[in-house]
Amino acid sequence: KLQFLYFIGRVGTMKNLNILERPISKGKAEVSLSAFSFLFSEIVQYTKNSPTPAKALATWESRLHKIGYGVGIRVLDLIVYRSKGMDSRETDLVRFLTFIEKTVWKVLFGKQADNLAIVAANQANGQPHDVYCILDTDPVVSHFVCNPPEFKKLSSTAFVAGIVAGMLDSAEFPAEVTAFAKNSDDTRSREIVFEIHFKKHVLQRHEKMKS
Amino acid sequence: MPYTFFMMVGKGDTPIFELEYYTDPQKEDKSQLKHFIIHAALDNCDEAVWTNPAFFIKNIDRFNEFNVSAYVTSGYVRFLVMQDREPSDSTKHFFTEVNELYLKVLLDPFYEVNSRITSASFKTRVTQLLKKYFQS
Repeated sequence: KLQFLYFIGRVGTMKNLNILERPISKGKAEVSLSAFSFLFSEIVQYTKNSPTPAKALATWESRLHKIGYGVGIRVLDLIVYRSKGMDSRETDLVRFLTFIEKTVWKVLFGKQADNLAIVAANQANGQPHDVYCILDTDPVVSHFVCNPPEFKKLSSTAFVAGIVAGMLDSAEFPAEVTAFAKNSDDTRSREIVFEIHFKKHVLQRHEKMKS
Repeated sequence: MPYTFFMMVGKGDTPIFELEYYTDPQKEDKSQLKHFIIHAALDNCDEAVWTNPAFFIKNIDRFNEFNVSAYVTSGYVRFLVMQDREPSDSTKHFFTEVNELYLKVLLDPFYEVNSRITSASFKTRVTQLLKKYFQS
């Protein structure tokens, strides 16, 4: 009888492994688009109504952004761990953005982002201020999202912007990342722009490191 | 009998985890000296991080007979080991294994990033690793 109970106990422990004992998954498993879309649609609906119904577009987008942020922090370390042979951090700004555009996008969405652009814009006080943009056409995340009439300009890609922001913050390149449709008038075009505004000290450090 | 002190420091210099390993009970540090040394080593760490992109930095600081080695992850969480011997290359393997453990904790959606790791099994596993790499 004791041996029988011991066996049952062992089966129990074999199934409920501590998170520290389970190996980290290789990342080869694929998730069906429908499963992901269901989950994402629930997230979008949830963020609209909890904890309080969102009255402003910005509140709704910032909630999605926050969820994405948590993903971004974790995804960075995970991707670096999985790419064997990565023995060093990326300290260069542009190389890190290229890493996001190519490797991270490929891991998350199965394809690389379209383009990485630097737009030199002028701040209010006339000083030149580089804004970096990642361009993506038809992100899979908002494939099945149809905006309600009162929130016509909602960008559910605020979730993806949150992922990028989480990664940048984690890697010591703090920035504000916003996502919006490139041609907001043409509702059929699905080009999305992720605008990355780095904090001043990051750009200063980048200038210093270049010289 | 060697003495080793391992500490994990997160963003904003918040301590995430710390553990001492020694076999000789006389070597136990009751005076908080180890915290002082590690804290001083963080300054060197901050400078070295931008010039040396590698994760593992063997000799980040020394204080009298103690040597400090560091390992900085891509998320800029710093693992520091203080020991009373010369640092060796096996410390790098120790750090890589701890990095894996830390990643598993990080992937837990209920783990608040940058907070203290209080899990008993994490502590057991790190003790095992310390024993494995710093026994002799």
